[in-house]
Amino acid sequence: MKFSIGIDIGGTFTDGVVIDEKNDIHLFKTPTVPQDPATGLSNCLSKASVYFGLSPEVFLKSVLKLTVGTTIATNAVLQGKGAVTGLITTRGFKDTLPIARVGREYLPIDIHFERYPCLIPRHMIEEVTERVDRDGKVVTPLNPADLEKAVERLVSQGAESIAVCFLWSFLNPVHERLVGEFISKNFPQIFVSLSSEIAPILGEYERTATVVLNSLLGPLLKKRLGDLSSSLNQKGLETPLLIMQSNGGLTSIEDAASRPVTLLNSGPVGGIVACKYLSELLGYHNIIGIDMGGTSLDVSLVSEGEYSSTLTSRVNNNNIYVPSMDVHSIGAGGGSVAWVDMGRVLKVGPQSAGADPGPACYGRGGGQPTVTDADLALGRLDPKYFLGGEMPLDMAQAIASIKKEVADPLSMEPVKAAQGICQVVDAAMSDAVRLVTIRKGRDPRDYALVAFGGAGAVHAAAIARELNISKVIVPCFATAQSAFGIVSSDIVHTLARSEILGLDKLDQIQLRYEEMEKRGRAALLKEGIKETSIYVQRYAEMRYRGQDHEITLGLSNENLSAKDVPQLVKNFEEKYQSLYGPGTIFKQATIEVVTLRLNVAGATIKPALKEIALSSPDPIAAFVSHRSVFFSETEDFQSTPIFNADLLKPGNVVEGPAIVQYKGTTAVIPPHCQARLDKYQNLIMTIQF
Amino acid sequence: MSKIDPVTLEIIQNRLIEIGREGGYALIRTGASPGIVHTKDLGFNISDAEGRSVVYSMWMPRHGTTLKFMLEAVRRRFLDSDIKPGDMFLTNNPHDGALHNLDIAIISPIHFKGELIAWAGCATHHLDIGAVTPGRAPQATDWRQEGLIFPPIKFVEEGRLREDLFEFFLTNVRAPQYQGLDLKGQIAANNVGRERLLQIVDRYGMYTLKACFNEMIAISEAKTRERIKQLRPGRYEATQYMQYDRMYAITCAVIVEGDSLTFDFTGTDPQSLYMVNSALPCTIANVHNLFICLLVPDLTINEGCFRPLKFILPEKTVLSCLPPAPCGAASTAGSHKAASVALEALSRALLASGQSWRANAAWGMGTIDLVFTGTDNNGAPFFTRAQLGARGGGARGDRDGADSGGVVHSTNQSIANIETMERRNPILYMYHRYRQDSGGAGKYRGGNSTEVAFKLHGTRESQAIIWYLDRDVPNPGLNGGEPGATAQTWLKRETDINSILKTEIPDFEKVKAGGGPELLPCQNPPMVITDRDVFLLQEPAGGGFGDPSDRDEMQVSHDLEEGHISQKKANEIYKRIPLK
Repeated sequence: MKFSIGIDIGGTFTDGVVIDEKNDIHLFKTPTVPQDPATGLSNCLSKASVYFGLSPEVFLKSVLKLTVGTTIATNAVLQGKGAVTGLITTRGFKDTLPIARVGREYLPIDIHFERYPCLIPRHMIEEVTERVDRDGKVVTPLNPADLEKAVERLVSQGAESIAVCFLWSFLNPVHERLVGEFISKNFPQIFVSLSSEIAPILGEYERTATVVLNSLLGPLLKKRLGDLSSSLNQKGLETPLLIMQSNGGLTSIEDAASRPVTLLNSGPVGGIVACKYLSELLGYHNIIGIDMGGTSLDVSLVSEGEYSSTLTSRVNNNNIYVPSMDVHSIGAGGGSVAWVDMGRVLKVGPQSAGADPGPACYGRGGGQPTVTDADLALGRLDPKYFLGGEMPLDMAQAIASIKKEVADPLSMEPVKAAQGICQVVDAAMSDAVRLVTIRKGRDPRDYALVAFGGAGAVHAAAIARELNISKVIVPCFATAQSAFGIVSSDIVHTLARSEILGLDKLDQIQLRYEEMEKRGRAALLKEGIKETSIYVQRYAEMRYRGQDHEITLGLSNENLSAKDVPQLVKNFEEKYQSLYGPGTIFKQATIEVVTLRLNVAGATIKPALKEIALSSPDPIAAFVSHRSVFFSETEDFQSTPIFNADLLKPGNVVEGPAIVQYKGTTAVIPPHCQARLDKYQNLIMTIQF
Repeated sequence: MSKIDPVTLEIIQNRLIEIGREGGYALIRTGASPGIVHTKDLGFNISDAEGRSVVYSMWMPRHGTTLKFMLEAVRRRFLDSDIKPGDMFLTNNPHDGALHNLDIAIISPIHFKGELIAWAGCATHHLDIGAVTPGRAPQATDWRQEGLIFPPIKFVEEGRLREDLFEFFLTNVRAPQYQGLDLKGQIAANNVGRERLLQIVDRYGMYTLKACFNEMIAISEAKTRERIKQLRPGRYEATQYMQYDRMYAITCAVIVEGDSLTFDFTGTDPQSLYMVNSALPCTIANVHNLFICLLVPDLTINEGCFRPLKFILPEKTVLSCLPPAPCGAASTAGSHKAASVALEALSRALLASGQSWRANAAWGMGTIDLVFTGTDNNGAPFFTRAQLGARGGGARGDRDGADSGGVVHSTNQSIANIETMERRNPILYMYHRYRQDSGGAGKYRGGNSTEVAFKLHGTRESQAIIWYLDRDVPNPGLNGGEPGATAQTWLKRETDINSILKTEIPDFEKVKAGGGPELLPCQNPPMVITDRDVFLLQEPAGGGFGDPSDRDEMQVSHDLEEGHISQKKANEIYKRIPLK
């Protein structure tokens, strides 16, 4: 027996997806060990090996592909556990990072605001005499004596890690390289990262923030990732361990350890990759993924079969240049607290009751009503089957808290108040979906909604109805969707080059792409990918000359030449007009390319969901009981059949109103809607309006 | 009209706020001028059919008030029957509401099934409007020397852009390549706003939307009145000075009566001969802006927040000028000072009302504006606003002022990267750094500002229009706090900088000049500068709060370690010799 494995090391749980040769999927869940993720990972693998009746060694030897996604980097940043880090920068610009371009757009209008603290203390920033200009020409050569003094000062202050960012280094990295060589030679124990290698993009503040974060994470991640891979290798793993990056692709441990900043934001990424997989498998070209957990909702898109991705993300109150999948998060989850403002307005969030004390129904002393309390009060959740029955819920406390905090102040019935809480949160989530669709000129009606995470399937139908989305999919792996996405990923290297070129320079642009492709291919070959398994996608960030924001266009990999200009212009203008409306095209301005980006990917073994022969539509074998559930459609409770997801068979059709209960989630099927278990055991819901 | 249910109200209110954000983003993403893209000097409003602002600019807030005034002007100028679906109007008349004529507004009616249901409006600061000199006109003595004035005109007719007017505009401004994109970006903003508002109407109906507008305004008004009632009734006064060609006194009394507030500017100096005047709408807009940021930043901002406010301003003062007095610098001169003096008077009211935590010492005041124009060594024309620094925030009653906090009421502000500035402009920046010791000392320290040194690079010479404010007017502290440093603009001419740069990047002090270093006056005639001249711009910093000797020793040590204050300041002002 051979296996492919995806592991998602989350903040609370380590989820494992093991796929065997028969393409059967097995899900495993173990608690994460925050201080020692390697142990949490081995526990998860041990659980799997026990299940298959194999010794851990034999099990590991049978693994063809082992892939891991981890929040280690994200948590290290959130908890301020970075290394003691110094920064070396161009003389005159030590305050680039502390000033952070002022950045008040990220603060409320309240003038009582506090600036976000700098990533590192100001006294850990050293200036070195050197200067390059906008043409990449050296104006002032690097002063070696200055450099020596700067490094020594940082080392004497205890620096374990040093970041280097000079002005214009993305055009001419010569000075940064000299610094890198000097430190490696004289202080080999120090982790060094250069902005020209980590983020060779115009914009010194963002480049500095990126390389500093990389340095903060470097030593810790190097150790943690090393631990992971050596413990697995000792136990018999023969295949290289692969790590999930925020761009949605896998990479080797060595590469990840040198650029750990690319592991940030990787939390929800596996989930999106799984959405893309479903898109291909089920033939839905457009998918909106909603991952609703306890405190937040992550919304992501697959459009025309492609992820939506972004070049800048905001991490720890700084803007960084890390290509990552576009995820829009809002503070709406099961734990979001409902309250009444001015005695007149029902509000939900942004406060969350978190996991402790949690919603009122957890019975841990949390007296504030939450979305989970409202779901429970409306009968959507089974108080005895929450987390598969591991955690009983207290209905009386849920209702009491809603009555006291929401219903009484608004002179409403508690049930109406619970319904109101759900409507407000559903509307907020719909707005979040609107932001990533309509704001980008996409119509949500062209999409299917894929619901995962603990609460996604509870609210999916309501969101779909709000946005006129007719299909909702609850995947068979909904409770471990990220782990599935991770194992179904390829190795992807994103290369970028920032250089402003007009469309009259297409031959030059072609050369740049070729050069990047060559580097990407070389890296993949080193990682053991065969030439024939490599595929490439080109992107160009384009804008009107004079603008500061770009729109991204995918390009073909054909040789670019002057004859392609009219088509490029047409594509750009079409996209522009669809975003900004009539009268906005400005031909006189002419178009320029700002950043060339290339994904070079190496295809790896991918799991495939197994097809199961369809049974009859009758779901009676999975029927559990009836329960009284409130539906907005009828404005009342009604006796509703409950089904056990584990007992449903492909081909079964469940007519709404109905509830399908999974071990880690609950699917609500409203009246007049219908859900069918497809041949892969995904629940496909058809929404009636 | 029956009350709207609380759930629908919340949903629609959130959506309207999101529309406000999206409209602004459309302009930011399509605009070109750094003032739009980085400083976010723009506003975007949604108003109801009667012109009441329902979504008040969440970008630079003061544009929210000016857009209301300009919408009134459009409605005065055009008959209802002339306002058609798909139309867009344009105006920049300061006496109709624009902060100054560099601010152009695009205002669009929104119709649903032929009925006018709402308005979208987008205003932003343009680089140039055809004044006698590039950008502003520091020497102008008549508003007609300050460039084009558009009373409300129809710029888009039923969805079709008036290409003739667009050409007229591009022909008359000095940075048409940027400004064409900026103006079209404003159209994009209104397109996006209109489309999104119509989606709400589609979903919830006209009746519900109108009910929501009413309820939102009523709630914001009630909450604002409640906040005002928490102030102790009385009269709170402050006077500050604005320096340009001379000193101008600006006086404000805040009168708290029950749940309403009056801003009385009686006693302010008569209007100036020069551009530092502000027309009435600009003054009111800036005080509105300051008021919401200080007292009700947590509310949904709309028309309701301003109903409890009254203004008393005699005619023809520096804050209420009338034509032909120039007012091209209004947005950052007279009206900024009006906001600053209102902040001081309101802070006194807060101190008297037991809400000292909300009180602010003065934030850095003293705009620096440098416009360079010419042709670079590659033959490309440039139009550059070279200043880049950030001001310091005033200390608050419970904490330090924000270092590089920016302009007090310009929320949403950010500054460009050096690389972005250098790429667009033939300039080499030598440093941009914190200005040590600039924040006023106090129990809570005023925020430090930044300073920028630079020279031309990639062009031999340039025309330069240079002016700034308040060179000798420190930014007052509060409750015993010391004042923050003033804005200063230094120029050294015919220096040895090009040979120094071959080996080092010098401090301004170390650069040798042909003449001596020159601390420029606030008002300057146009000049020509060369690539051997070096500028140092020092931004103004915030005042301190409370007696410096009450400052926590740990904070003094921390400031010293991080370089925010010098050893000298630690010793002399804070009377401490912190342990080293």
